[in-house]
Amino acid sequence: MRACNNGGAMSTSTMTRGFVIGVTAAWLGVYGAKTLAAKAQQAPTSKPDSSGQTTRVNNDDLETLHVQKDVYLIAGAGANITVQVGPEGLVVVDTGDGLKNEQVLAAIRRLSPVPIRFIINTSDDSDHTGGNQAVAQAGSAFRTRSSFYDGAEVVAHENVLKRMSTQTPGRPMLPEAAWPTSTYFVPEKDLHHNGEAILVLYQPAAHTNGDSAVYFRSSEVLVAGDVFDLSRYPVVDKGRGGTATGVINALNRLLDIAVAGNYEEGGTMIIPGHGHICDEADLVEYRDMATIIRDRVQDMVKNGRTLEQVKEAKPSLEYDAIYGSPDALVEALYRDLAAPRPAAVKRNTK
Amino acid sequence: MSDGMAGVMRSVIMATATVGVVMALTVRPLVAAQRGQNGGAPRSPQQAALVDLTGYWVSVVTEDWRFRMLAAPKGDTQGVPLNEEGHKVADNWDPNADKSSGNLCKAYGAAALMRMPERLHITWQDESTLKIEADAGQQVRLLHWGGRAPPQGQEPQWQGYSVATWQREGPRGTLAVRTTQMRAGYLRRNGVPYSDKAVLTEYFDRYAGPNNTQWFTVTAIVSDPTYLQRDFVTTTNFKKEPDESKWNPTPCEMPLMPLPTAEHPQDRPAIAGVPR
Amino acid sequence: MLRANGRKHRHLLLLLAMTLVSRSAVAQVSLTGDWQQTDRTEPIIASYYIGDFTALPIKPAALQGGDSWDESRWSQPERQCTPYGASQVFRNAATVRLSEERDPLTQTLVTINMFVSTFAQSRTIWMDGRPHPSKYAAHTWQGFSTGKWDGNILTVTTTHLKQFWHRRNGIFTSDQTVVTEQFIRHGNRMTIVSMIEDPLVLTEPLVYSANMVNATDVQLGAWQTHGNCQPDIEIAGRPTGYVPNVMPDPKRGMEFATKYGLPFEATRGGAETLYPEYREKLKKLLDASNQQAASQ
Repeated sequence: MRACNNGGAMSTSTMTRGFVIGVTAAWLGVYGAKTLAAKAQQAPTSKPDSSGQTTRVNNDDLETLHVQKDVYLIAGAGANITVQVGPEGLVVVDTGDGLKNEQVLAAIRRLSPVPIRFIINTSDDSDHTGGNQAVAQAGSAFRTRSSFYDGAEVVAHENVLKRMSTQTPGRPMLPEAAWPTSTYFVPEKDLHHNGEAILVLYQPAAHTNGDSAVYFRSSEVLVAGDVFDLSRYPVVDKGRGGTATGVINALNRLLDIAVAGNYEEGGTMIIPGHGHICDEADLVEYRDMATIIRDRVQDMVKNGRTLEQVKEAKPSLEYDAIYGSPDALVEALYRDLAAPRPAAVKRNTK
Repeated sequence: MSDGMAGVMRSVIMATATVGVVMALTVRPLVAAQRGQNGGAPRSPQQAALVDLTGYWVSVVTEDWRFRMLAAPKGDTQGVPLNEEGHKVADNWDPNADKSSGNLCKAYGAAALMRMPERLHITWQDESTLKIEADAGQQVRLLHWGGRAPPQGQEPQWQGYSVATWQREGPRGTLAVRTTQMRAGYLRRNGVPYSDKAVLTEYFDRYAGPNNTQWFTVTAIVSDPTYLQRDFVTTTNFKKEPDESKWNPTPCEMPLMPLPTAEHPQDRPAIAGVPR
Repeated sequence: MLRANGRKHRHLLLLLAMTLVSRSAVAQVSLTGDWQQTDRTEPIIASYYIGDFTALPIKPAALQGGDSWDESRWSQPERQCTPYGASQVFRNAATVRLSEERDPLTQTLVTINMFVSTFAQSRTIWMDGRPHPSKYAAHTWQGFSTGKWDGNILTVTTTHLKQFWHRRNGIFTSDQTVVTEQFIRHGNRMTIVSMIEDPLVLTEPLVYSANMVNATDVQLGAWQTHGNCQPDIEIAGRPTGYVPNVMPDPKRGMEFATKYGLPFEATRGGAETLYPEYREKLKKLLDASNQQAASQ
């Protein structure tokens, strides 16, 4: 059908077709714009949020977030899992509770295909070490060892190995493949990997007597372990050598290392044992909370109050809605503060 | 005409037709807003309401608490840009004199009524008059549409004379109100004054709040060349109530006076048998 | 050629139609410009008396934070440069600049950007419908904000806020706070209503409003308050990790109550004190105090 004849006069069918197209285009324009706007409201974009972090939500309820420079967080598999990514291989701090090993490894693989070289455990808590075996076996250390030590090197304080390799009542012993392969007993163990210094810092008698913090110096990321746990009051495990005073000392040590950015935001990013990515300001609130409760318990101990009386006084009242039951912390503080102090050693001044 | 020109002409014709269709589709709702449903007579202000303020509302006093829940100490005029004359009047406030002269409602005038801790009941008195009843002081404000001038020879009233308009912004809008002819009154319970020359401009905006609550905020601007250096601006927030169960009309009354302070040791009501 | 012309016609029509109707997707009101806060009666957030918890719908447990508050807490190096978070930024926002960022091709509004002079805080309000970040994402002072227009009102929802203060005399927020703001413009004036939800600390949302006026002659200096904050040790001799605080003592609030002639109980806040019916109780408290004073 010709749309044009006789020098420009339109045929009826052409006009009709043109008008239908025009009207359709107009309606499509109206509804197209509205639909696009509505869809834009529903679908997430790929832009980073205001903190510059992009989140990848995996299909398995794990979330992978970029923390800063070479460091990432994998959350949702027990305790927080931190991964340093680089051409020399991956460093994984803590491995989760072991219940989602496949998913954790898949999330790690999505970050980088290079081998996992190191695992660093911040304590021997099961939600931090449950994935040790699977993750270690999926990796490979730089140097070759005996067949027992194939896989990634597992670094932790020596007390972690002592406990993992000892049968204790009520706690299943982890298989040897999950044990640390490289332990330390001095205040600090240093690594250098992917062009950055990694400091493994002993936190004595804190949450346990095997706590480590890990500081990725160039990436400015500090992995705190369970001395810093946004989901609850600090947990002090007396049976594993933990003390409340040690926890507070550990928090202060972390604050000594952290340097905040402008207006107390950003700068050193801190990954707590559980909870969202933090910075110094978040850690300050947690440290202050623990210290204030400590001060109150100390005051009551000085005034001769019993543990029951201290609990009744509710020294943590304003924080309980946020952090839950304070009983264990109050008991730990009371133990520390009410314990008789050793007599001062007499010095021979002659 | 060449094929090319014919093609251009066709484009123009079809584009014009399309524009006409699109314009008709988008303009029609706007026109309908100005006309009755049958496309005939203009709609009344009630029919054309851009915001529904009817119902029961309660003030939520989270700001200026000690100025609103009770009277602040005499002379405490913090935040009000009074001039010298205004300060003089505020410093000489005497609530007992207001009582004895029958002027207890001075603090309930239009320029301050919305700041009272109170409940409001808002209804349409008629199609072009919105009625705002306040249980505090049992006051009634009438907001008139149509730009009608106040009746001739009318004495100033506590609530003055209010002219209302709808201000459209997109699909919604604001209630804008201008009130004049107010009797001299108090901006605050402790005698911070406004004169009978004051003009009150208000904007009422409604929105949804958390937990499926409904709110409106009234932004009030008081201009008073007699007592103010510049405009006095307040915003007051009201939350919708489900019904009238807490409606509690009370007459104009003496303000709740604060306890005696070091600066104002006499600021307490008389207690029988107890010298001040 | 005819077929090519027909495609061109269709493209032209579609473009024309979309141009005509795309206006409906664009906000009708612009908040762009510089804004200055008008007079306020509420103290700026930093200057509340110890013990002044009036008008706060707080849970009773939160009072212990206020009752143990030591103003010296602000001398901690980690707190000296703390700005006002989004929940309180308009409590003392001297000057605010709002600007828009649009998609260069479609001119769709992508963000409204806010710069607040006090502590030079910036906030991005995402207008493109994106979701809020993961619960594991870092929290910031200004949080993560999304907005949508409803007529002349811009409604902004902000999450991922750091723990901050409902009042800087010891009543802190949790880091689960959500702030909903309504930005309402009338001519050269703007009203901002902030509704703060913090169910861990508050029994109901806390509502504040701020009034601003469009400013055309803001001097550069007005943008540079607290422009370069460097923390330092202000008080020598304190042990490492010292946290200023006092043993909880509600009576510390008596000074504020006495200064302003308020019954002490009324200064303790709580949602009931926000509503008109509280005046009945307030009257009884005042009468009781007066009678007690008279009998002494």
